[in-house]
Amino acid sequence: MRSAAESVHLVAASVGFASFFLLWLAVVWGIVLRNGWAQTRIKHATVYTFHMVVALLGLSLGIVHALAQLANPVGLIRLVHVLVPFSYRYDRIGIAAGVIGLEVLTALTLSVMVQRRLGHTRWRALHAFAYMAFMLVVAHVLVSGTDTGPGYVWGSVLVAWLFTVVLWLVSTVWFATTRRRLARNVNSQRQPGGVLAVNVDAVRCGRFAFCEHEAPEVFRLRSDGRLSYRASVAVGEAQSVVRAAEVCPTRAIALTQVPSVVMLERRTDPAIEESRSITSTRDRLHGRHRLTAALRLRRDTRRSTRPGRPPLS
Amino acid sequence: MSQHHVLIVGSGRAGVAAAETLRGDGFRGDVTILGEESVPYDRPQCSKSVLTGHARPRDVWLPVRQGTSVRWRLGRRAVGLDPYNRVVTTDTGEEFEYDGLVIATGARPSPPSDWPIGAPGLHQLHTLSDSWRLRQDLRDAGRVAIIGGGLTGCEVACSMWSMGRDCVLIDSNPQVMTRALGEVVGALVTAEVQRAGISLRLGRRVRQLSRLKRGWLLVLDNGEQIRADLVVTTIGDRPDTGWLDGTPLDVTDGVLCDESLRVVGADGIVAAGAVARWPNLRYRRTPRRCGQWIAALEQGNAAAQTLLRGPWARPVTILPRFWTEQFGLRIQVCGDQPAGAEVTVTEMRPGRRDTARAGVLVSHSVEGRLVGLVAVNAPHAFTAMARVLIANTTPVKPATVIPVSPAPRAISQYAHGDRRARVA
Repeated sequence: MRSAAESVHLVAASVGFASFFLLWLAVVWGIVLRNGWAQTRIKHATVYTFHMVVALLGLSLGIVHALAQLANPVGLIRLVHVLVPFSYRYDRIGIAAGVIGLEVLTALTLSVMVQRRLGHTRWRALHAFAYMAFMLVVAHVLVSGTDTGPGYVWGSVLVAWLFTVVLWLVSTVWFATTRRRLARNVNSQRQPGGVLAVNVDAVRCGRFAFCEHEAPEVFRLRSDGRLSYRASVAVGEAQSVVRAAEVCPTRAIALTQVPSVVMLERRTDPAIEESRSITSTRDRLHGRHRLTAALRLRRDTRRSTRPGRPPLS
Repeated sequence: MSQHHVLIVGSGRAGVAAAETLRGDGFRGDVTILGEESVPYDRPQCSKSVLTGHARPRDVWLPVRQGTSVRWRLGRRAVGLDPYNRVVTTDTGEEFEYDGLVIATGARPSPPSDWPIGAPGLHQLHTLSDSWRLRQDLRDAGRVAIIGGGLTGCEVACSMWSMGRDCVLIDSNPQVMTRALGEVVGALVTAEVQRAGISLRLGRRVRQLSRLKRGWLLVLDNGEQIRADLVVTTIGDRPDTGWLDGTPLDVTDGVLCDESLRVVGADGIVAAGAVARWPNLRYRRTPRRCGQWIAALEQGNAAAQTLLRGPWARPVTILPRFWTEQFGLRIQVCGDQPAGAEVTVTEMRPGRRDTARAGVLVSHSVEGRLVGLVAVNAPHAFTAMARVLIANTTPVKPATVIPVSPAPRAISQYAHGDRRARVA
């Protein structure tokens, strides 16, 4: 038979862990929602509702966890301690972290009601405080949790926290630019041909399918409302894709030109090169590189015939 | 410096598209863009994301295609054209000579002249700065009156609605967006707008506008009084041709062009965008204006090609199309809605009472030939049907060739050898 204090503790701790898990899920889901990662698979409204429900549930359990401490007959926690941060003498920092986290989260939840009045940008800025509040909750679990003794418990809390941090880092602009730069470096070494990389921003895309009007061979709006597209396009088809990017009402289509490399023969002697006709070189080139090469050659010859300047090597 | 110079008046979608095409097709001369505003931008966003705060003005700047080298002369307005000496003068007193001219000044809303536009709380929505100023004023406004229930008016109403403002929408037609969507879809959309909570005053005109200590008082023609913190007017659509007065060009409701967008009555001038009135031979021989964003892009491209091709210019037969997303309705329109066309309504989910929200596709056909489409929440069906419209390019033959005097010269004749490079 457990004592009353033990029972209360058991309930409070389980509710606390459940609350932590739900809040973690809400944060992860919020990041997914923000970046539109699930948009190609799940309807936006569903993702949004899930985020709301999980967050609300986690918050409610958090409040229950805080109030359950008051029911402990031999506990020292009074109502003032779960309302006013830093007022609990025996675990000032840990309890304060939990209290502040919970209060900030409550405020953020209530701010949903004035979301439209506040405006999108301001509300998003406000909502970013949820990350801070979640950090405080994590700190609270690790500092004041009496059941976080075994390694697998505090380990998993830590891993869950690290996961959100990594997920957030991955969604930053800094990461996107770095990744793009790395990809460009790798691709420029790998692909000698002219390839256009097509990327559609899932958040901005309005699924109007005007791109399909212009380039039906690349973009297709499926019957379930999802847009499918080919991610890399040969330079030959580029014109229609460029048109598609231009007519896109939401400017969601990004085209990245993977630099095309056209190999010309090594020249042996500038004098011979001068006498050699351009057309013979042009004839050796074929297919889609012809135009670029022709233009490039013309530029070269123009430069090389300029007086007072040596021909380019 | 080359002696061949194309001057583009207007830095909007059409003007920038013309510059891009000139460069893309290998024009080597100089290209200058004259613009009244300080930066080219996507105008459709002015009534959407800029107002709601999803985008800052910077985010809607028009991306200019790489490799388009252009001399930008922004922040000055063209005030005069001398087509004989080929000179455009600006309000700063500068003179720009040209060999080819692209007129792309667009159109602007035209509220009644006695309304004190610019007074605190009375806004007209046209430029990006108008939009930004409106957004700043919204901060302390709870109730907004929108005069003009066209496409822009409804988009503004939707933006206000999404920001939790009370909206009154006043229009003289019995439906919202009738001109853009036709009567069938107009009625369905009007019902949805009403259901969303916008209070509509349809079939009403504003008789009087008076400024109160705080806000404005509108008196309608039935005597009703409406108080609002902010008034936004979107009515009227007048092509910006004031600077062409006194020239031999026909500027009644836009610059009259022939079927290749060459301006009638002058040599070396083409027009593009909402300012051009030309016969779109895809549909009819009578010249008409088309004030749409995609059309502006395509006209800009086509006008530049007309300049380059000269006498070999092809008729410009673009497919008008536009979109709007408001109150959860994704509306797409494509083609033409002539009076007397046969109208077919297809419901995506028959039997639902909210027809528009559940998806509806309305097609207009003349003599069994599909000419126009309007879709609400039915993008897949719309795209499938639009394919037919895109493929069906049979142009109407021009009855009489509109004389262009004197015979057009091609700018491309100056572009040494570039025509060959294009063919290669």
